[in-house]
Amino acid sequence: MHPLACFSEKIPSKWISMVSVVLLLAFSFSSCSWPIGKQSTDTFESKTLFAMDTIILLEASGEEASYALVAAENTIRAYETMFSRTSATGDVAMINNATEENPAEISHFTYNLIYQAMELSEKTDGAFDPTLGAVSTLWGFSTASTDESITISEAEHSTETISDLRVPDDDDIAAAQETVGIEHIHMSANEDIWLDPCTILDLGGIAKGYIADLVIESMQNYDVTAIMINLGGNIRTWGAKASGDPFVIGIQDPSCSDALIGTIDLTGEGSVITSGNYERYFEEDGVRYGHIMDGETGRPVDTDLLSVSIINEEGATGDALSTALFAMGEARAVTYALENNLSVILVNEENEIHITSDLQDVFQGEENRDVRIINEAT
Amino acid sequence: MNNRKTTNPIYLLSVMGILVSMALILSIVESILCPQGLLPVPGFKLGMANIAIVVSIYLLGPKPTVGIVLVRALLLWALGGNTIGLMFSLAGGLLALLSMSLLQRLPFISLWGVSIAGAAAHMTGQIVVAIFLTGNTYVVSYLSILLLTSILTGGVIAFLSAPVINALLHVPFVNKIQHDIMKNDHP
Amino acid sequence: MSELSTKQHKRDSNKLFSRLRFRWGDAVVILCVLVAAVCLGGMYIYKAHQTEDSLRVLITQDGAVLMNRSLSSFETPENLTITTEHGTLTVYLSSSEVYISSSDCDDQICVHQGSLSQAGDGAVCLPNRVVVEIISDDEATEKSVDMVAR
Repeated sequence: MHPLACFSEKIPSKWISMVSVVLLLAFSFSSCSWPIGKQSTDTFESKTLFAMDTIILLEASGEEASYALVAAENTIRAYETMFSRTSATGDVAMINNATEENPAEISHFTYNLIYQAMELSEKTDGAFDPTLGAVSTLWGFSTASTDESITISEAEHSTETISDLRVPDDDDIAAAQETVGIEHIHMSANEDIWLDPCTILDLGGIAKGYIADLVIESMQNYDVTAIMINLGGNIRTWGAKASGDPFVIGIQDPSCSDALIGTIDLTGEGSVITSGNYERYFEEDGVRYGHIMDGETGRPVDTDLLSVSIINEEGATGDALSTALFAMGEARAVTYALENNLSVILVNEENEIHITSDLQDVFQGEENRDVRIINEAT
Repeated sequence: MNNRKTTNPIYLLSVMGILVSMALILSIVESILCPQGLLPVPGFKLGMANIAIVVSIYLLGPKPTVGIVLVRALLLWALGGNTIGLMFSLAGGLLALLSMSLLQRLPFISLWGVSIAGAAAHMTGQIVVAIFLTGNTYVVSYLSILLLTSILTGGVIAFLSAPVINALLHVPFVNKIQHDIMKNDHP
Repeated sequence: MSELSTKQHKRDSNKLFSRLRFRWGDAVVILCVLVAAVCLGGMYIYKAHQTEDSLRVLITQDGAVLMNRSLSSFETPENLTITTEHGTLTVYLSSSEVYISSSDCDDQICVHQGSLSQAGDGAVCLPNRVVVEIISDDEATEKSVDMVAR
């Protein structure tokens, strides 16, 4: 007997089988589309990505938050290449390989960034310096271990890039130190740039802050109400939370990676950038060598500060200034901060927290931490 | 016992083969129609393959069904390479099998109760494995929702299994096997 | 088709149709499952409420902190998508529980690690080197930190 025949003849009602098939399909498809657990009612959408050798966390709220996040990622990818020393095709690499006869034509953004960097370098008397590339490389802090893009002109220097972190010879240090200084950067009338031989441009101390600003800008093309981004530790905010509460930004304790020294409340457009040697350094013979270099000595900065946090409204300046103040050491940093009306949080070698008076109301130190206000008398 | 010996084992094997393939295909279809992780609860499944298990229990009884559960789990593992899935599948399947065979014997429980109990036992088995895997008992909280859904899925499976049992029994040799094995046939 | 098999067919259909008739035992089964579900659900809600206020979720990738927030800050649940060099995963965060809802890693263990809601609970995605933990905060301050500058 044909099996199908028995199915249709003998089953009490055909429609039981039809109903079961329909039920089965309906059930399968309906449970497939249950949106439970999905994003329908979020206030903040988040995205993390890995770029510029670090982790980036982006959060946005608003109608078009998800589009804004995509735009943010695109912005990061685009500029990452442009400002990176290690990318073979980026503007910075081109500049590092350019000569007077063959200057590099770069994008307007890069030009702006370099211009800003030079201004800040001058203002801080070289405490922040975008030409520290040769020194960083010498000590091994370059992120390019084998990249050809930082090959210096072959005629005069070796093409080897140093990838190991180590204490170099005094002679090498002196040689590298001589290449440092914004006077080695040359610009032509039509924004072409070249450097003196052996000088290497390194925008690491300002690029992330600048990119953060560009990211916020790109996100504003979309309908968003609040933005918070964390670019490898550089925080940038914009807008306001629906609740009206401020953005609460924690500040890492330089001595204890699990702890904070306190939190700061930001409203509206703001930037919190912290500089310190507590994340990138190496130790040799019991001495710690950090990644922030001193242009005058060709060595890691000798400073009595553990971390400097600048609170202001835009990232590029904040990034450069935090590096500069860190390099200056406590006394000079305090003077500079007061003279220039900066909002600063310093943590010195004794783990003391000093803040400028304007931050009194918005900074809350962790329990058991002593917070002192910087005043003229210090 | 005697009757079992007089039945050609090839018939039994064929029926088991049909049921294993049915279980396999249902598993695969289910994973295509409804990928895991849609509901925020691990282990949420329709359990369509249980149709085959339920049918097998009613046609063949518990012992051959053990074989079917094992073979289906191993075959799925061989096809997909998902070892964790294997553990879940075995734990859930065997526990379901155990509870269903026990309940099936009771005359006051129909296919509905058996199937729902089977679905509930299946979820419980999977959660137990999850507890071992995660090392803490927090997954037990999932069991709550899973048990509720198992009432529903168990019902659907029962509803779908009945016509399948019916249909298979119209195939003569299946009918014969069933009569031979299930000596104490009960309504 | 002899009349014998027709009778047999009728007998069988009746028997099987009667398989689908509800009996009192079925109600007992359903009741037992319901009771179990409610008990477990009740236990869960009780535990979740007890410890809600002082718990934080700590998400790290390769040791770097991505998120350190109080659970109660998630009044509306959020989804965090984490992209690393090794892949992407999504974490579901709500005031009562946190779990990894999806990941593109091969083993999917992290997804199966289930819900985290008590201090000490954790889920790890090894290929992506992401760790999601619930930590208790003894000095539980009212504030939760949105992001950490470092």
